[in-house]
Amino acid sequence: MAKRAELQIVTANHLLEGHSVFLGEDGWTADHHAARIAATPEESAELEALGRVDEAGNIVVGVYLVDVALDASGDPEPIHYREKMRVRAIPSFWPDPVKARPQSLRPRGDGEAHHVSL
Amino acid sequence: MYRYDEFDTQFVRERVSQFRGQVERRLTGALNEDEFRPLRLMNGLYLQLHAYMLRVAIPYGTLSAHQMRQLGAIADKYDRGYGHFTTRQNIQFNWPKLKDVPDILDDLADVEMHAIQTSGNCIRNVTADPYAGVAADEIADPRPTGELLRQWSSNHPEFSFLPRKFKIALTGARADRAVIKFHDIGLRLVEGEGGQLGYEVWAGGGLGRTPMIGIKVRDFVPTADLLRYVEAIMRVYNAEGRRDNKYKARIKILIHEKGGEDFRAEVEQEFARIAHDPAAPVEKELARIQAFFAPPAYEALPAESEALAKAKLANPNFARWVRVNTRAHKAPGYTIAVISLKPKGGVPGDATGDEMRVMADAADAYSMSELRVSAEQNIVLPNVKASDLFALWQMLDRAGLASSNAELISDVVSCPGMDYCALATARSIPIAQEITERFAEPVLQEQIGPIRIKISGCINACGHHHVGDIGILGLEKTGAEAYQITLGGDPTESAAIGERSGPGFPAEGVVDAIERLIHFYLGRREDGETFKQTYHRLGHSVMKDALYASH
Repeated sequence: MAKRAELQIVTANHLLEGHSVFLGEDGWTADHHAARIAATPEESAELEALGRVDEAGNIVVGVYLVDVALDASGDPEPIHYREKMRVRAIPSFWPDPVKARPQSLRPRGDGEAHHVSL
Repeated sequence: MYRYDEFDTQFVRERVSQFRGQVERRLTGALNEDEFRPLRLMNGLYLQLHAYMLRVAIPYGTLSAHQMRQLGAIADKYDRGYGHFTTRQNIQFNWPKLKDVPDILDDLADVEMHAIQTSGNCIRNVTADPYAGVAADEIADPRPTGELLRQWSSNHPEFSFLPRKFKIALTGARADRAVIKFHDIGLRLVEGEGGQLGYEVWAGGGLGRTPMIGIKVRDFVPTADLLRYVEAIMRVYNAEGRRDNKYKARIKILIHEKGGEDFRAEVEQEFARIAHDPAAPVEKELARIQAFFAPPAYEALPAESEALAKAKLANPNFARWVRVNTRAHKAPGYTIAVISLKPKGGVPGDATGDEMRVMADAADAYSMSELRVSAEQNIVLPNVKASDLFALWQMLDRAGLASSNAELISDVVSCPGMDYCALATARSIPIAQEITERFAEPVLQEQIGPIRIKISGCINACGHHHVGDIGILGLEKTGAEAYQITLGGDPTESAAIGERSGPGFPAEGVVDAIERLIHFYLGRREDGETFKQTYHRLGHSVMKDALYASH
């Protein structure tokens, strides 16, 4: 990846279900618009570390940072086309989001072991 | 068809129960992902872009109706109602949940199937001519050898950690429909002196980032010696194949770096060292396996069916399907029927649970309960009476499975691409869909004639783009999908690697470019020429220019 974008969010795959998830304020969510946004390299590192805690805790797998930009409503949208496709959670040729997304998969704070404060 | 013996059954069931335990330990956290990944991969379970993906082996591409029905049931019960047949004659389920996978494997074991060695650096599922055992141009059925290789290579202690994955393909026919020259080992049944059967042995072929045509290692290895000979090749590769660089670890690189002569000499030396043991259980086992593949009792039928002739006259659509989608069978009055999984606008190789059930029912009613999967991602009914073709076609047509396009321009081969695959650099399915829509007109398709379009969404070439008459490779160029076109590839006995044309095209320009090339070909072809023949007559640079001409 070339130059680091200004903003980033953290993504992974849900261990049990396999689908893509994003680290939000209250844990992992399938809705990337609800993802927490890191605005500096330090915040990115902290956010990623937080994601890794849940990887170690066997909630998610394959944690990584995704470059985003804010759309007109102020929601984060990935910059790269691969990530744009991934946030849709279905093949690009499927007619829109029938994407059967559970709202929040597992709230954070479900056990102290998973709780890390920023 | 081969049926599991007690040992096979026990082996597969034990593996399921081991994997069930591994999944449980993964879910409790006793195994972390680094520990679990190799275990899940050994059982065909990948993590893809949107979900887990389970790749199920279909040994030498042969399926019973019962097995096909079970695949449909799995698609409905655990997945999203469909599966994807691949260029390696496997089926992939795109949305299984981790916790369900042991149950899926149990359901597969119920019908003598598994997902073992569909991933990892081991000998993968053995592939074969989809018309094996029934093709008119076949010397003998290669599948007993395929089954022997499957058993021998399953959990083979010496060959479970090879430098890289290893793929073996077989054919018993003169025409190569198994792409043997592009496999790590390709085997072609031939008749030796005195009618003795044996194999012509090829090695070091492959596609991917370094496409290569295999070299012939030996003109003839008697069937009884084949396993020893394959073992000799495996040993040379296992000992000397590069483990320092994943991209140079396939046997093709070893043979290329070493040179064919040296490689052959080492294989022969190793072969001589592996003592021939006349009491070896191999021959007994081969004889046992062969009994399962004895030809069915074909009825004595006239070569031409009057009923068929009448139905064709009365129904031009049916006549077209027969013309395009049936192939010559070795038994008079029988035919091989191709069920195209390439409907207009469809996803190449995809079939819903309902479609799998219809195909299973069709096999039960009209093809002695047997089906095949082809490297072209279609399903084949190998044993259809010509007089049953009309009833079969009606059944398929009602289910939307009667596309008349086998080996025509809309019979596009495509990997899943970025719509599913974590490795992809671009999408491939939407390009395939656009091609099948653009060239949907049946009369035009027949006029264009046989042509292979193959699409891969990354350099790993699962869509076999290097061997398409027209190959399309999806790449990333400055933050967008770009498609590079190759021309002149050939997967058959006249194997050729496609030559790159010129600058790539953006997604919205690819199909226009192909259409320009096809119109150019139609304008310049001589009587009866195929695309391939015109390409060779006019030459690469003339044909390639037609892609770019903007008038």
